[in-house]
Amino acid sequence: MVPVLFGVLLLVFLITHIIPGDPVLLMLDVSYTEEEYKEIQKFLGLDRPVHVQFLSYLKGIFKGDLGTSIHTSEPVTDRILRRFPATFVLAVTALIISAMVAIPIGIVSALKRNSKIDYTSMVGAQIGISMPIFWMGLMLILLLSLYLDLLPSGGRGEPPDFIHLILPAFCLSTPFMAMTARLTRSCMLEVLRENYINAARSRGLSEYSVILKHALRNAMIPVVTNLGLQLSRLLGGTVVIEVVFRWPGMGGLAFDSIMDRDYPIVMGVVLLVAVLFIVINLIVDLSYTFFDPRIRYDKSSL
Amino acid sequence: MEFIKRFAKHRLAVVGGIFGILLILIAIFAPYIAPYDPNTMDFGSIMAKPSLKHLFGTDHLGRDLLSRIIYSARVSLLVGVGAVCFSAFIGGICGLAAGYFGKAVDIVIMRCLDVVWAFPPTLLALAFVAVRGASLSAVILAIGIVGIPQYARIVRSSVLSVKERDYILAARASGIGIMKIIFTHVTPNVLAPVIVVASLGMAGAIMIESILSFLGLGMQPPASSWGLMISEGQKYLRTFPFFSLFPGLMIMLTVFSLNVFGDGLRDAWDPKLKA
Repeated sequence: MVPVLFGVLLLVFLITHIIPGDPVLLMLDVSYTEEEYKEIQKFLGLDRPVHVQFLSYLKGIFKGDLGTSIHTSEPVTDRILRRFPATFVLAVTALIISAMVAIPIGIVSALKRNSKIDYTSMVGAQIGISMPIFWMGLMLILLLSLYLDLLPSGGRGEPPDFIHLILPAFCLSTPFMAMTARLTRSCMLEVLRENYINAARSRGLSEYSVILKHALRNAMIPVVTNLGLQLSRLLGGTVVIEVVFRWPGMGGLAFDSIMDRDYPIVMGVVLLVAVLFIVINLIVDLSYTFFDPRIRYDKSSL
Repeated sequence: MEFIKRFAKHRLAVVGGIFGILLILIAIFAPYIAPYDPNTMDFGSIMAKPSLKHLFGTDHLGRDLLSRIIYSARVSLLVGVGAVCFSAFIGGICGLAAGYFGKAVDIVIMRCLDVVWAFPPTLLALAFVAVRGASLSAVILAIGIVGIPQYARIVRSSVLSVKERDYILAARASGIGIMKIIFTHVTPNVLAPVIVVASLGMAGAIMIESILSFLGLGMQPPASSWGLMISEGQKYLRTFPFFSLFPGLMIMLTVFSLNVFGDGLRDAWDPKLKA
């Protein structure tokens, strides 16, 4: 995990440094003197050798310093942290919606394998994966906000309320919903073929308790841990939904910063999301031992 | 033959494949199929509703929407094929090397790819295009890079499962060079899973391209791309919803077809892999 984390930092640093367009020029007037140029270069620390810059960048990261915004000269960390809660709320809500809809669908599909219900929900899941979420967002805005006037078309509400959350969270959740439904179905099918299920049935347990107590518990292990991975993907996948719904989160900030060429902020967001991904992955890996005592890790694999 | 029979059982996958072929034909023969030139503006009929004259209507500059959608198929397919070829080629080489040589080579390659894997695909592609500037080649490259780890992983695991087979040992024992073993004995066994991942990967690439173009970081006007058209139509959502509706439907149909086609291939090749 540590080498990957280091690699992520190195990659983000390199991308920031191969950006065409001199960041020094961005902070200067059109008519600048050689001295002013040198001064800004020194101020940004760009006059030092690259490896020294990387080391001081690393040092900064460990202190929580992601650099300063080119446009507002504010610390990047502050700007991102101010926007992070909105994205987090959006991602978690989407995750909850997706789990609540998808897991029951997956279970029913597995129990009624090859039935009409199974076929319909699996084709439905396939359609859910295939729909561009931003387009789906626009179509739902058109239908529910512009035509029927049921839900707000964007923003977060003042103060933030639940009704503004529904549409963006639902759109964000659809592809994940589809994936979870398919995963739940296949895990459930796999578990239902196991010998201990046959054993439970042959001991005369009711179908209800075979499914709920024996099958479901084991089938849910990969599904639940997959939800953890989805959360980390959701956090990085909000950009386009935040733009469509004018949601004041981190993804929208990243997009605005790309448009303003404010790269320290863009890279700050990218870095934060990647690090969260690694950390959540680690937690998920460790949680396997909690859910499934058959799995044990030795220290070297961490 | 056995394979084709098994594949033909998946009716939906067959339909997906047929749609895919149709789309390729549409893209190649776009100038002959499209009823109008995609860039000719007709200020006499701006945002005309779908009619016999303009089947899908016209956009805010009076350009025929159907023709623009047909021409956009070229962009989507080009990005899909280009990105998939790039990631399959680079990822394939990485996976072959990592799997075959093992040890330090394996560790270094896979750790580097873990780094790429840690970034959310869309966000990494966005950042890359933002840095490189939006253009067709930047979009293909960005989406291609994002896809590399997937191919490397699948090729590596296939190589690992093939590597210890007797026929490989026999080939090594008879003194055949490493490169020759890899290309004549290992590669053919790895091809099937790669083709499956490629057809699913093409769907993903087309999706990311549409997101980039929608955000204004992909195809630039006056070029046309489904994502770009949705974004142009966004302004007229209330007054003229067809503008955004049809390109979105096309993306959905295309991605859906590629996905069911890929799933069908996978099931036909190896029923055990069924998700």
